[in-house]
Amino acid sequence: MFFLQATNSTNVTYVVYFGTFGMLLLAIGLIVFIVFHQRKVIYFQLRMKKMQEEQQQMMLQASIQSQEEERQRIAADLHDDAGPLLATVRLYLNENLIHQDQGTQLQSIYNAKQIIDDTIQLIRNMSHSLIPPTLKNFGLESAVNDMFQKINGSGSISASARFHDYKRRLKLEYELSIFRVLQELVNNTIKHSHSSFIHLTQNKTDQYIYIRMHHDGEGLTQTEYEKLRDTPQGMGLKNIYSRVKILNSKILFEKDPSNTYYKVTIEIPIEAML
Amino acid sequence: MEFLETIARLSLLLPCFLFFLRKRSQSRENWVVFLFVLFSILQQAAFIIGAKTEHPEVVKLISFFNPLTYLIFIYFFFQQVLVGPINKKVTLVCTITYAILQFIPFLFETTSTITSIFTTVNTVFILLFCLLYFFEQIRFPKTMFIYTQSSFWAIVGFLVFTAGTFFIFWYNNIIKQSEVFENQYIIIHALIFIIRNLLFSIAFVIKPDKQPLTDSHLSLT
Repeated sequence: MFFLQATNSTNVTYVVYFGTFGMLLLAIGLIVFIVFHQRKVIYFQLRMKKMQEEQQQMMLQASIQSQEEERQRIAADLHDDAGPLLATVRLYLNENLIHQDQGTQLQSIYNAKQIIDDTIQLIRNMSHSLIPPTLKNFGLESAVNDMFQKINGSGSISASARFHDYKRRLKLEYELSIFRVLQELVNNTIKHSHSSFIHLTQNKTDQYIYIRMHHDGEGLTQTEYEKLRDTPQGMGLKNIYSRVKILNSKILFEKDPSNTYYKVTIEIPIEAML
Repeated sequence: MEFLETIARLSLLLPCFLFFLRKRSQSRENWVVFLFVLFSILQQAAFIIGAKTEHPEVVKLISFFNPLTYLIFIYFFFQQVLVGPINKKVTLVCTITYAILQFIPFLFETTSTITSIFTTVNTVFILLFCLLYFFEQIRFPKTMFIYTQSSFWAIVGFLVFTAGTFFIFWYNNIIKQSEVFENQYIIIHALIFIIRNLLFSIAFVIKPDKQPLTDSHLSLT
């Protein structure tokens, strides 16, 4: 207040000089601060943008790699299984041309038929691994139950699923994406967790479907998931992340408060999926 | 003192000269600044004529309209520079409020306190406008280096002039009573006036950085 109330001559001189100097100093300080702070803000924004681009690049690479792996697997199946079977059929049919007697011909045709049946079964299995027929015909609930039945059949781990409210099916492409995420989660649990059981539940609210999977083995927390996802090794987790992102959903990895179970919850918005 | 005053008055010619030198590439906000400089020239001419012909009422009239005209120029300048619609509205409301306040002395007897209040309000408004501009520059940066924009230098000019002349305008009435004070006033005012005109000159000659922000800018920081 002294600066605004000075009246005698010494005070006024003092106030005018120091006040002006102070105001100029403040103005210059403000300008310098803005110049440097603005650069910091831009630097931060550019870094964020770059990181997002890098992450997208990694996701794209993961998606391409998983596609390539899938192609390689199909190629290997065709080359190693279907190829030799069809070559054998060809041999039997060639034999038919050489041996003219009816008995030998019938035997070769029978053998060729058997091999063709095997080949059909093989191709069916390959086709099923690309899109499970249960999923296509009966929906996610049946496909999950079917998958868990097969896991139970192996005897190494107990798997169970309970769908509380899944009367109306989602679009097939979304169901397939959810199924692939669940497949990856189950595979990871079987491979890494050393758990004795897997239990999956499905619940629904007006807006979301919640699929929760828990097991009693070693699992991941959200921080660990995010950390592993960004490493070049975490291919499966990257696929989970990209599928969840396509579904416009959320995934949460957490440890049960009792420290006994690990839980994975997927929150799927219903509106866009029907 | 007279020499310094003359230099300060002549310094107004530098931005005008530089403006005409690069007239074709001048932005709209630079045109507002140029008109403001022209107004300052007319004002200084009126002061000289008023002092020589001993018609103090001319100087009084100019002094009265000075803050209002200054704020109107500032308003038009910030309307060109600001991006956010809310910020534009804030500047409009502030200018209208101030313009209405400006007519209060017509209704009541003008005292030094009222004059001081107007000076403070004027300064606060201009500082607020400058802060709005800086706030926008941080929120929606257009370029890596803010000082490659001509508007930045014009705003620095306004800011330095407002901040530097705040106290001499605040004590205007006391200063006018004594020759010693008046000399102080002339020194400070002339120096800040010259600095302001130099900053406007920079605004008129600076070439804007039109390159969009890219990752290549990361290596520059």
